[in-house]
Amino acid sequence: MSSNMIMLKSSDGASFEIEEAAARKSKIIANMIEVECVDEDKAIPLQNVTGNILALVIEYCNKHIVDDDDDVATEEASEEEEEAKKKKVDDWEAEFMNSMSLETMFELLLAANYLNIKSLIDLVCQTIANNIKDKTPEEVRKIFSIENDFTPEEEEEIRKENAWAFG
Amino acid sequence: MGCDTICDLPDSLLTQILLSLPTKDSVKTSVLSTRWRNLWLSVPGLDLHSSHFGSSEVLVRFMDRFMEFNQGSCLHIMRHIAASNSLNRENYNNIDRLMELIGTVVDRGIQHLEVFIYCLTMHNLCGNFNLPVPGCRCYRCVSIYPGCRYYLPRQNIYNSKTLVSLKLLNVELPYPECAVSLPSLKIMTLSKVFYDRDGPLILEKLISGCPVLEDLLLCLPYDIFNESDHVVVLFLRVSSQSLKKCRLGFPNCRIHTDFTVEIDAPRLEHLSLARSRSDRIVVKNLSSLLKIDLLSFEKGSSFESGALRERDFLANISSVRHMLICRNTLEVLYSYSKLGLIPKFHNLYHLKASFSSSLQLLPPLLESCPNLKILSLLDSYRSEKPRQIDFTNVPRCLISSLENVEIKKQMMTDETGIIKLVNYFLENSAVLKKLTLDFFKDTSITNQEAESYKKLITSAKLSLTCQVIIDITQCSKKRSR
Repeated sequence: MSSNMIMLKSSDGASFEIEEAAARKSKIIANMIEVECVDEDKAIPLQNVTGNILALVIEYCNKHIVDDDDDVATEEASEEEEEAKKKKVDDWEAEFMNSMSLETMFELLLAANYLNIKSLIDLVCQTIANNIKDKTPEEVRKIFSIENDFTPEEEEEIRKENAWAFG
Repeated sequence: MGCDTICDLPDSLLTQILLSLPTKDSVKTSVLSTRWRNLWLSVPGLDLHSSHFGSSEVLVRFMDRFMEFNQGSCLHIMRHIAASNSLNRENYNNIDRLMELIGTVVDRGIQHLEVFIYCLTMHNLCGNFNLPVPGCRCYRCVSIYPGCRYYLPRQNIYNSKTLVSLKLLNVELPYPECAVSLPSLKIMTLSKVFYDRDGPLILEKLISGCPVLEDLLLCLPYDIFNESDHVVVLFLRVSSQSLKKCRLGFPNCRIHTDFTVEIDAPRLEHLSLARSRSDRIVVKNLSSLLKIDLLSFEKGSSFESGALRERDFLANISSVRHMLICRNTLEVLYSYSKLGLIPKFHNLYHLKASFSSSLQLLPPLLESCPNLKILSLLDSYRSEKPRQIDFTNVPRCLISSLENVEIKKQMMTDETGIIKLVNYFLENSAVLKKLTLDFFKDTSITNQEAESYKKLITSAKLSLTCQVIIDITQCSKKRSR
């Protein structure tokens, strides 16, 4: 595994150094590396990602690249060890997502989408979805500050269409 | 790229969020605001539970509407979980319609299809008496009231270019009229999908039509009802160049069979055989095998336990690194070892075994594992019987390779027996690094008590650097039942 370092630059001008292997979690960056439009001395500008969000993305990528490495190295790992490792990653992910506000999550999701990091998109979507699951529409509106722009009659009409779901 | 509220996210991401939800929760978002009004209709997946719908008619109407709207986009995932009693008491046309819709979903390029119909009323409705009852899912009732069958009539399930994973429980598949071709299928889980004696043959055809299949789980894939007492001869061949993981289980077979399974899979890494009633297991070309699970082979007259009867079977799996066995298997292997029929498992690195009162059977098996490093023992039974641990000789692996012993006990009832076992390993293992004793205890346990266990542990450790860990979990009443 190559340990080349590459530079990323956020929209607000912050520079970050990241291992190439970690950066490759992003399909966009991986593509740039493939077609060699990455100059060794120059930072890759990411115009759609701010510094604070890019820091989170990099934290995520660094965490997951280590795990990918381990997979190759631990042929002798027992099932328990593998389970324990998976649990460790799950715990880390839960903690990682727990530490941020919903607003940060939305920005992180946009950044993951822009950088095309599938596993991070899935993680953030699942976390946001967990805030919707088993909640009433009123509760969901409150959590996400969604303004109800239906008239009571309209709302009643929509509920009737799929009455089974609101039971 | 500012994004302050969830409504600022593009539709493609909102539908992806909805995709992580059961369809019921996704549909409920239609009422949040105008922005959300129709988003649920564009979600490329369905996750339906029949219990969410009052009747199967409502379910079918919903599916119809969803499919009509979703026509352009391709549906990636469909998971449908139903309990039979919520479906089959109504008119059977709805079930037929539902099965047709599943056919349409396949046409639309589905990648992941899961349909699980749990038969809560499997035999209970007719009570297996002579009178057939509509809605009962026992084989005879089903053959008299065919409407009760969840029959997938379309052939397209055998010719999908997109299908990546297919998981079916209690959904009967048709006889494939032409060659099977599922070029993308990697994961297949089938349980009760055939009711004919052709079942094994269809399965063979199905598996051979999946060139990239990696993970196969067959749990009673065919359920055959035999009115006569004649023995039914069945032969199932699992032959695949791509298969990595294969789990087979044939529980509760209701008929007399002469049943042979043949496995030919050169890339297979993990083979799991559970509750197998098969009379013979023939394995070929298992050069990649790393892990094997042998679970619940029949007890009693060990030599009739046919699955392991083939002497070649053990020789063919002797290169495994991980082995999981249950106490029945342990007994069978023990009787084999007495006759010198067990090969040496030179690569075996981790052995996991459950036991009850059969602990004395362990040393002969350990003798066959000269390079074992990790031994995990799980006592799953609450046996009050005092255990005779008669370890007269010391297996080679204790002297040269065993580094880690874990003993898990569901319930601590016989402390002295388990302490004897612990001490046996401590006194005889020369390179042991860690021994963990992990058990549940009925009553609350004080630190003092825990200390008293530690005192019982021998001070004559052969491996001076060995770490001993005792972990006692207090068992809640619910758990101990």
